[in-house]
Amino acid sequence: MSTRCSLFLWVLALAGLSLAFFAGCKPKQTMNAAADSVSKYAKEMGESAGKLGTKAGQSLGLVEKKWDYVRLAYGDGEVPAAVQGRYTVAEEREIGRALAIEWTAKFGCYTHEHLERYLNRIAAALAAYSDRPALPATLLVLDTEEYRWFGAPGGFVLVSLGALRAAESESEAAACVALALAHAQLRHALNLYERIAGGALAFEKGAPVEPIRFSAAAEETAALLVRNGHVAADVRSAAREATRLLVRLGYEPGGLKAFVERTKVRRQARHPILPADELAYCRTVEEAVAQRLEELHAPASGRTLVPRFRRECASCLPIPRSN
Amino acid sequence: MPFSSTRPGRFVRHGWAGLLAATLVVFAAGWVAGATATLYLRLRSAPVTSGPSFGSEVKAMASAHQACSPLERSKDGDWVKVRLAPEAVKGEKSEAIEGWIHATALTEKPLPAESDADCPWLRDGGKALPEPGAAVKEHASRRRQALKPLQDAERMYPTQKELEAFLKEGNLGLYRPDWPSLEGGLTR
Repeated sequence: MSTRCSLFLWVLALAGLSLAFFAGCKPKQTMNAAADSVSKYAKEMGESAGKLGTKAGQSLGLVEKKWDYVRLAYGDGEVPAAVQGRYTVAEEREIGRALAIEWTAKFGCYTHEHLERYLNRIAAALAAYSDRPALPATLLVLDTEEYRWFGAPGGFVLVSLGALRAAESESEAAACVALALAHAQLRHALNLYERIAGGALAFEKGAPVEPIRFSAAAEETAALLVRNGHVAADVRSAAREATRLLVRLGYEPGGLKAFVERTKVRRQARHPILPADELAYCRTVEEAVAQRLEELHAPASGRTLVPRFRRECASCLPIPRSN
Repeated sequence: MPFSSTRPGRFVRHGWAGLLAATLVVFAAGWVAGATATLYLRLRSAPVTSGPSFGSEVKAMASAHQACSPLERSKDGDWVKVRLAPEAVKGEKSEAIEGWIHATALTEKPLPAESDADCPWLRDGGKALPEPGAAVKEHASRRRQALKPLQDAERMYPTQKELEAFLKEGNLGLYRPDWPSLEGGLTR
């Protein structure tokens, strides 16, 4: 056999090897039973090899992008991996409750069962389509005409009467809730709380080991967020995440931008010259929303649900108090 | 001379067995990789239907973080036939359930897991949420705040059924008539 011939056979064999590999990657129902019996080591090796082979095949255009279609429409979330799993849901909610108590102590709590039920469903719907769907969302209405919204650890969302009054549709109310919820889900207040507390808190059987430190840090964190709000980077990432949630649920994609713009106009009607930090906040949100919408190739329109909003929310709001 | 006239032939003859074995090993590796890919539910809940459409009969509701094995995909690519482990489907004591889930409700990458072993509130709503602990009660009494409004609000977290009804009424989420079709170029 000539050298050329043997070389040809080797090339043919390698081609066959590659084809066999790519063919093997194809999932089949009947194969599942057999796969179950393969040892763990073999599975791991096979998975790694399969991924490598599939990627190589995709890059060469030989293999269909097999599982690309299962990735979420509109991209992945921004939940930082470094802070995952530090607390259980119950522990995170304990910290969130302490912060919520602080804010309700400062602004008061507006209770209206019908209104709260409706807003809690909006918050739960947004949370259900977020990257932390197992984290329950709880919404409280703050009894103030100021434009305020806070997100506390454990999925607590606090929205003021003033902010709800600024919304003109369900999509705008959802935008406000989504922004606060994104802060809660991305653990912005929790990170601040830990910095103030001097590190992560230890819990034993769901209760903080140091209750005084637990309480004092909540007091300080809540006051700081009322006074200064979140840092620009946190505002930006929350606005991006909120936009993604709104788009995923099918609300009007520009709802957040419209809502923030409306609160700015209403503030300016009272105080023509707004403080620089408030203007910067609005600009940050608007820019983040515009950028995210472009990235997501979001549809031009979505559901505003004005009739449902008027029925469930606007009619339940109390007469505004004059300042 | 490293290769005499007889050596390449012998090498090729003996090498074939090795090559065949290597082919089989690589084939098996790819086969296992393809067959055992795991997908996870990325929403709080999603219907598992008997056919690849929202109009098909709902066999069960899958819950957040649920892992499932893909079996096949629909022709249009929008739906994945999956097998759910029996213990993962709460309230169902039957065998492993096979059904269709919309592909956008699934992900390859597991979500950041909440460290609680079980999340009963996903199905049962706010009544199943953990109660405030002693530290929170003490904090509230020190701030002279009643815990009742907070607890009332927590109990308003909707059950799975209530949430589905809310979404359906507003044509939101999976009930959107324009829920992204994977053929539509929205898969990013």
